[in-house]
Amino acid sequence: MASLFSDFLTALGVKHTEGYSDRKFAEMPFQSMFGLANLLKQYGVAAAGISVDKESRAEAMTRLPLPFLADTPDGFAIVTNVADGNVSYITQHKQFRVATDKFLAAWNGIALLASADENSVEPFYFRHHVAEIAEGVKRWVLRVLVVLLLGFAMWASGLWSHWAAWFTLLLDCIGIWLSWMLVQKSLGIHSGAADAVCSVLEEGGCDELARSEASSFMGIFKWSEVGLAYFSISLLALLLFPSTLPALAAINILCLPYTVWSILYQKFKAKVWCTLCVCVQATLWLLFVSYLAGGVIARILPFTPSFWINFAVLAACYIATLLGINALDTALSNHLKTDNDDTTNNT
Amino acid sequence: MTQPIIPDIPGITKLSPLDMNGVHFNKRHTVLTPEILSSLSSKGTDGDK
Repeated sequence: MASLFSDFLTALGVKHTEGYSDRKFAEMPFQSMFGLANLLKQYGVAAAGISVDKESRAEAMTRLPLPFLADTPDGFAIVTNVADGNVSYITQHKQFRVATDKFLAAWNGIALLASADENSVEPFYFRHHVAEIAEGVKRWVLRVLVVLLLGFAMWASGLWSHWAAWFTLLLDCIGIWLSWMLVQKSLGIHSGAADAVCSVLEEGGCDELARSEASSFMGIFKWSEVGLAYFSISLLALLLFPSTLPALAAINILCLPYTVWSILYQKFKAKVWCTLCVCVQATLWLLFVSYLAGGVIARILPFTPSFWINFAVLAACYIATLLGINALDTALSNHLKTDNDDTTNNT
Repeated sequence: MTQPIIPDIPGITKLSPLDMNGVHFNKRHTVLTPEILSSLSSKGTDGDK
């Protein structure tokens, strides 16, 4: 998702690429208005910080050159227009309009003014632009190939004509996506898609729970890692070994009590809703419905030796994958913590 | 580069680099909705950071 910096450049009409600009913003040695002014200078944009007395803010709001950054106790807003008693502004890549007096009451009088001209442009813009297009092409090629491979696997495994199998496939993919976003949240990695989903039930709920004690099992591994392992292996087993479906369904049933615990914990203990977590619980229940409607659950009983073999092998796969994801997650978490410590020490 | 035009209003003070370095970014990525702006105004604001 675009940062404050790239949004400001867009508002100023300065040619830039989001990837490079956001990276430069995140890597600023001084994470302050001073750092931002220095960064803008690299783009050929002159900037000046001002402070406005309370009595003068109403007049200043109508006369300051647009766009400008207005500071509030909860962050900066990019003021893009002031007209008809309203202020239009951008915050976290979203546009809002509010009555001028309401904005003035929240503004602390500090602002960053900027001046761009026809020579203002991102350094090495053309090279970055080509690279950005190439990244987009790579992403789309990957998506198309994944879809084609999944379709091929469904055909090769003989599940092509079973609607419940397609539904299960879709749910497993959704589960992987949701779990991946939860892992990102737990690592403090900012994701626009995750923020968009999280804001549905409660703004900030996912962040709060993803970093709480309840997000992990006795501090040994995170529930987001469990989810990622579960849905990944379920997807692979469905596509490569469809004979394991009854064992998959049995394991899904064993997961259902966890969904009840999760919902009760959010409602009564944490008193905050994590939209991503709720979606994962819903996905588990929808998987159960899919297995039930597809006649898979009816094939669990009676237990046969091959069922138990499949069950044991699947359990081993889940655990091995979970341990692998956990090791990777821990290494990544330590790496990110080291990076943050280095940045703090340098500023 | 053309410097930004600061309006000639008595209550405006240009910040020094040191002052500007004291104005930090908020790491919480809060979306400043109109409702949040209202709650900020009720807490009270001033130009000091």
